[in-house]
Amino acid sequence: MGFNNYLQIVIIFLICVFTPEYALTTPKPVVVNPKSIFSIKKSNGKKIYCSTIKNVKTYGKIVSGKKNLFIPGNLFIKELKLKLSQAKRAKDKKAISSLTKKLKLLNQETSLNNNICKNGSDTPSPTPTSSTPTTPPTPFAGDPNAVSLEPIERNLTSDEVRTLFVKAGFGFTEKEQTLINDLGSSPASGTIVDRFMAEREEDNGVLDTVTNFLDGDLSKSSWQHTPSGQRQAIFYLMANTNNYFAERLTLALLGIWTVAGDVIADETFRHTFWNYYQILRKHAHGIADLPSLGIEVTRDPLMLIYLNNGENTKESPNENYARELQELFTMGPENLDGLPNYTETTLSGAGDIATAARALTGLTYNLNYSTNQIDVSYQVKKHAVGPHVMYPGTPYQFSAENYEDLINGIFSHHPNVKFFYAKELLKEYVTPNPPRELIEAFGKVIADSNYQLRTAMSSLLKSKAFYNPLWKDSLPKNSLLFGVEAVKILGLSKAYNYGEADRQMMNMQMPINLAPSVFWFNPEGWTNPAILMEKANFLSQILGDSTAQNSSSPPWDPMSLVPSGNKSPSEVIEYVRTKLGLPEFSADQKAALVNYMNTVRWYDASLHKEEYNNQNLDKVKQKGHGLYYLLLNSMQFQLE
Amino acid sequence: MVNRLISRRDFIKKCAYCACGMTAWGAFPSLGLRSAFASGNNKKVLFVNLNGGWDTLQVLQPATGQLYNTLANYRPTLKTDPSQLLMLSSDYGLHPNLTNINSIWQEGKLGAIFNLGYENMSRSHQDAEVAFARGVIDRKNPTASGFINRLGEYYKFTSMQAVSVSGTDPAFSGGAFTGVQTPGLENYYYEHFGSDWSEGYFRQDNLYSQASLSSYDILKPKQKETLNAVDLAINTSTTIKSAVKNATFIQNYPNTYLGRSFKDSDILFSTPTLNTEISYIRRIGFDTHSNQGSSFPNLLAELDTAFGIFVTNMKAKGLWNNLMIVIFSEFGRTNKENASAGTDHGGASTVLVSGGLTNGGLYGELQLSDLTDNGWLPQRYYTVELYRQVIAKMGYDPQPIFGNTAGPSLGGLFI
Repeated sequence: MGFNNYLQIVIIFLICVFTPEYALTTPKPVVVNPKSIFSIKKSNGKKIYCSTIKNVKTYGKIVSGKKNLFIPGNLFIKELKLKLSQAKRAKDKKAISSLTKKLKLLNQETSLNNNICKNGSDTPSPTPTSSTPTTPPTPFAGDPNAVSLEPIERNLTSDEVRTLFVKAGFGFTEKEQTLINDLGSSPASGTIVDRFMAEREEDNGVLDTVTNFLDGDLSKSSWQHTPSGQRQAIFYLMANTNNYFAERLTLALLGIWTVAGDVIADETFRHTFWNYYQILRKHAHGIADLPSLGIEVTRDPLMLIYLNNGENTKESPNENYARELQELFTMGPENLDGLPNYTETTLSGAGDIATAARALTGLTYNLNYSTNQIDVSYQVKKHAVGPHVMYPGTPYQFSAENYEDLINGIFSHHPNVKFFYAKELLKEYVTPNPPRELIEAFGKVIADSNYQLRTAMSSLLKSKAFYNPLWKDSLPKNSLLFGVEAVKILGLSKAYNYGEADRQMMNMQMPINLAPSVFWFNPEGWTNPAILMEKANFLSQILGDSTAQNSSSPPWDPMSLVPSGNKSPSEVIEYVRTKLGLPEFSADQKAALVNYMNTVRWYDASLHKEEYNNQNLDKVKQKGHGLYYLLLNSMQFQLE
Repeated sequence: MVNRLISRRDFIKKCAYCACGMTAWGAFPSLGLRSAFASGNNKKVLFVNLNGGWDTLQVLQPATGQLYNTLANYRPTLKTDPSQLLMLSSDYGLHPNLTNINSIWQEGKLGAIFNLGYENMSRSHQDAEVAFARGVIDRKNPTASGFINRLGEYYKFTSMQAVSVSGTDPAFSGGAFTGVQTPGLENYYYEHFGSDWSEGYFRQDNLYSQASLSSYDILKPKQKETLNAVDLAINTSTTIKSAVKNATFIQNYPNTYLGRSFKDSDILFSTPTLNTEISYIRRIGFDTHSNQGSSFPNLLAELDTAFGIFVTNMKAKGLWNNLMIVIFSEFGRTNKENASAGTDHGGASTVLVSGGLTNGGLYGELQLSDLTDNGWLPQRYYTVELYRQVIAKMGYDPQPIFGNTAGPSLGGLFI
């Protein structure tokens, strides 16, 4: 008996002596057939007793030494209720509180044990959340159009046009509106999607500014071309590009073909992430041919270092890249039925990962300090000669000699690659948990396109599923998309101090060229309090901190955000709502916002009533910008 | 006014009740009378997830006999000479960089559980981590939410009762509980660059509150989740900022990732107003496919230093005796080192459990066949059994959270 047991006895003793009589008693047992009593050992090792009373298997307690006396669990509840009523009559608040808690616990415990008695075993009680079976999911029972990739035949509404630009681009501002003005307010889906996806020249100076962030001349020893400079360049490009589709697709591809820019510590070669990013951009701006992209990424120096394929030789195999090529980049560990897509390495060195690793041998790199580049070469003597048979014994078995064969073979033979890409892209563009029917339908489209994503994405963006109301407001904006869209809406895309943007992106947990977490791009993760708070801080900073407004060229006019003329609070609210593209507010929301307009904040942060004064330009700016702060933080804006 | 003095007759009568009561205490352990005392017992747990798959064959290495010989053969560059190990028993020793953890072993407060995992173990980072986060017997039969989320939902935790100090984590995701998940307490507050935008207006206008939205019930799940998360951020920012500002330490933490994370956990546990019972750290970087001999010891040193200071502070603050620390990873690594002097994704791994509530000792042991049958360690103990013991020690019934347990019991892990 340990100290705790003694402590328990002392506690009980004290409680019994110094508490009223209604504390603890034992109910009167009932007489049962001794043969009806049986015990069940619970999974935690504890034994409970059951007996059949009135044809119902009931949990209870046997009386020691008496084989026919049984106290059903509900009698303890009854007894406790009685004591509780006594305590209530005595108005003993302490006892009422204590007995109420005990009664609650006793109810739970008795109910649980009664179920165990009924089921005859210690099966788990229902967990608060539903189980997610891996095989096979329930067929989609909602609107069939929500999983249909047939073209939406009617013209798009203005709301659907906005959906296209927000979900597949970087928001819908006056700039995007200008792009499609000639198509009218209700354009045909095919026409507007083609317009949206079309390749266009960037505005004058945009690419030069991107280069300035990077300081392409590596002989200069400057702070630029740092990881921070790269992040600023990417943010700036997204906020100013005319190629919404391609730059957005680049980000989606980075979420799949993930890499870490900080894996190379030597500053000489810190530009390698940018070079890697350019591979993704090149493909996103082109036909986005996935096998070609895979081959190019495989021989990229940063990837060779990041996933160790540069050390993978026939004498010294390293399976890291071989695993991730299959797991992260092409098919995932399991198919839609939860079955493995590839086999693990056995002690004898067999298995699809080991085989793929052998096919991937031969690529090596050299840090070239005279050119400040990492040279990549293919050395036959380091390559394990094949043929390397992948997925042997399956209908999709194929033979590969080298890394190019391997990647082409995976895309052309393995049956789950199309579904893997379908799921990943649907998670990025449509909904975080796409139903199987939609994955299968889009997978077929991707395969039919020969893994040319521009063709496949065009089908998706023109489909009934993409615009279905079921998927509206289901996809949280990640921090980067949120930030870029906010900067665009506020008219700061050129005037913003992108050094500050970088700091904010770090705070918002999305420094996109650093090592990503496995869950980095998981849409589930973007609605947590810390990130939403940092998004609010980002908005506070770009609206209120002059260092964030790098307004010398071109100057930023803060009054451009508010309507001109003498407007009422409701008119200002409506102006901002329209500018943000938010749906109509409820009466409660309108009232809350009008209340905000008629409130001022004193130096001590206390809030006081004061009617909105539209004659005072400082006040107009202050309350107007505050509205942006509130509404950009709103649930409606956070979700796509 | 109630007269609290009792007569001699009453005293004897109540003593008799007392005897019955003690009988009942022993007789009805499962009726909830005990758990009424046990719940909310102020015990705390720190989970330290060393993400990437830490090599527990290097953390706690066999030191003698065939096990050592086999391992030494498999790991020519990564083995540690037994003379340098910090011996826990005649057969196993800790990596020499784990001196602080070894000190806790000497105090009898370190437990090492060999071969811990789950059924259908995965060697994919993401799948394996989800399995750990969900806390299930079989990866193929998952729950929809993380185990901390389920616990918080079932027991109506406040958002500060379970906190991740390493940002978003799947153990917190997927259900109705919204725990704070921040990459660091230092930055967890609202900034106010302008005079007219602050969370004060959120509060005043109740813009995000459920109460103000007549349509709340018909909102989509993601919409509700977003609203709740904003509400939560508003309601917790000031408290946390104050806790960070007022925190004091007997020994200061180093400015490493784990140093900052242990410091945050210290603040959470030692600030009474926060009432934090679970702190969760996730440190990436343990995926050591190459040059493990140079990188891994540094990671262990970072862990050991932060751990040692945390223990010092917890003891000084009187929290050690109510504390559990669970150090784990989503999987172990391959038994053999690869040709890049690293190791690849493995199977089961060793979990270290510490804290004043721990019954120190080795739980299980490695078999020779563990090294020779496959390329990675097989699983014997179950994650879910470990979680169940921790949760039960905290005074919560693990049954509704996890359902059944499986495998060998870890019933003696905690005092």
